[in-house]
Amino acid sequence: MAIGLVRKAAVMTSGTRTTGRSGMSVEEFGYLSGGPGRAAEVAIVRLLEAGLLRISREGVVSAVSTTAHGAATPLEAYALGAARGGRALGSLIKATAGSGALDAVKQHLVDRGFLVSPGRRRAWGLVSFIATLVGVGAVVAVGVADLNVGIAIVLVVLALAVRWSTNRMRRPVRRAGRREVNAVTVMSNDRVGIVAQHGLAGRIGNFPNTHRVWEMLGIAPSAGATLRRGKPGRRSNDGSTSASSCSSCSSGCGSNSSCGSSSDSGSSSSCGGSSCGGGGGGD
Amino acid sequence: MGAVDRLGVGIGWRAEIDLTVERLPDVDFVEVVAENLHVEHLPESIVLLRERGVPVLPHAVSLSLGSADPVDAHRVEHLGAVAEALGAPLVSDHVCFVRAGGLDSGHLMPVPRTRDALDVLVANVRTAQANLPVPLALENIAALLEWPDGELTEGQFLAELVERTDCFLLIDVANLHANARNLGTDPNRFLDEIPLERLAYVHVAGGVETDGVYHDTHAHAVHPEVLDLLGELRSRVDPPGVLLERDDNYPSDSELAAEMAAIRAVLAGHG
Repeated sequence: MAIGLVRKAAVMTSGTRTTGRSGMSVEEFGYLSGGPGRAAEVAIVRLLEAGLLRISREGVVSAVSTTAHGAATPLEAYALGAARGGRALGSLIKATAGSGALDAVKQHLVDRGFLVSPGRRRAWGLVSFIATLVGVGAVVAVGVADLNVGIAIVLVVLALAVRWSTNRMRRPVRRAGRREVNAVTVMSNDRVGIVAQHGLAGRIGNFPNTHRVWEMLGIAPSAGATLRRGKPGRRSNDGSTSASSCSSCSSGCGSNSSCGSSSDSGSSSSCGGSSCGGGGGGD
Repeated sequence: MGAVDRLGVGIGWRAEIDLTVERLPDVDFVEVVAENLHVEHLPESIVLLRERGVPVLPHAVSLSLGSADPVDAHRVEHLGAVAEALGAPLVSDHVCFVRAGGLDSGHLMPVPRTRDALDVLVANVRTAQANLPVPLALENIAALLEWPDGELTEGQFLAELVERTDCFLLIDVANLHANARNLGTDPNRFLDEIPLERLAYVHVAGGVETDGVYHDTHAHAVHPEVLDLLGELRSRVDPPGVLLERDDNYPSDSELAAEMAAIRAVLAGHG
């Protein structure tokens, strides 16, 4: 299947990888664009497009019985196995986003400097917490310990600055990762690439003639309706979001609490909504 | 009671393959498991098929007509309501029991082929028929055991059932094959003994043989021997309908279409 991801308006690629300097896979592009849920969506849609999965009108995804070895990546293999008995699309996305196969995708991105490691994010979180304590402590100390108001103001301003800075440092996607995402152009006929960039619940087209990505894929409205949009999270510049914006698909979030799948695209978007949700013999 | 109108070649509708069923070419009718439907909330796919004019036949699995317990009126009522909601020309269930003494077997269990058991079955079928808005067809099952002291062959048992209740027959040729493999029954004798003029339609399904036992899984490809039996039946009667059943491990659309084409080829080849 041709994946029309082009880096720097250069080489069209085939298979499941982009070409270019980094050779980023479509799943990795999806992860950097929208988090683990997005990468899971990419794997599932690739299998749907290849006829290895089928989706029902009500949104139940099931593996097509075949002897062909169609899974091209470990993440696809996981999704294919998880859909053996039939599973609601949202549930399958969540399960795939929380799988060990996706951890491997994430680790690969961490190793290449595109994602911040969970340890580093925790460390910056601790710094942010301490800064908060200092700021609150300074305000309290004005009242109970006669701390000079000027010093307290300086401490509070410093604490706020540290918090702002550490929160930026805690963003899952690093600058190098954002550059990679920005360098990719998705061709208009590249359906899997479009999912990676926008997410299943994302909108494409020119206003006012926009439509959801799942509509472009021919997914039935009753199945598409199972992809709930989450509450908008705090905007960030890295295509991901804070944990609070993952409320509608908590298990779609990776261990680093980045969002399941943003419905907006690119490096400049926030995690506006996640593509998680639930959908859903005789003789 | 007259004969069943021509149905053609159909496929079992299942939620997982609803879009496939809608897409497949030349689907003349479909069958749904009645217990899986809510009359107030019919699946969109079923509604669409009905709008296209595709007959949708409810197939029940829980009436337990062979049970010594009285027929569950609520189950019959539900089956009738589904039939009316779908505008179905007939409904069906099995010659079996699935519960006894308050316990559900989880399987279609064979009825002892004795005159006493037949009396019970006939009484239950008559009760069901009296409370159904459309005719009832009954299906032969695949069994892994036969009760001892049987007084009738399966064909004789069904023939007498039809004679006493005027029900239709739904003949599953895969079940005939399974019983031939596992119990040593003679499918040709069965076909000789049943009243083929009361045939509503035919089931065809796949299975797998493991350690010398044939399992009627509905999750594997249809065996050539099953199609041979369909041909044998077709050489005796032109069945109003033939339906492909697939309940799990669904193959691609093209493979399902190929199995339906194979059924059509058998029907055409033995006409």
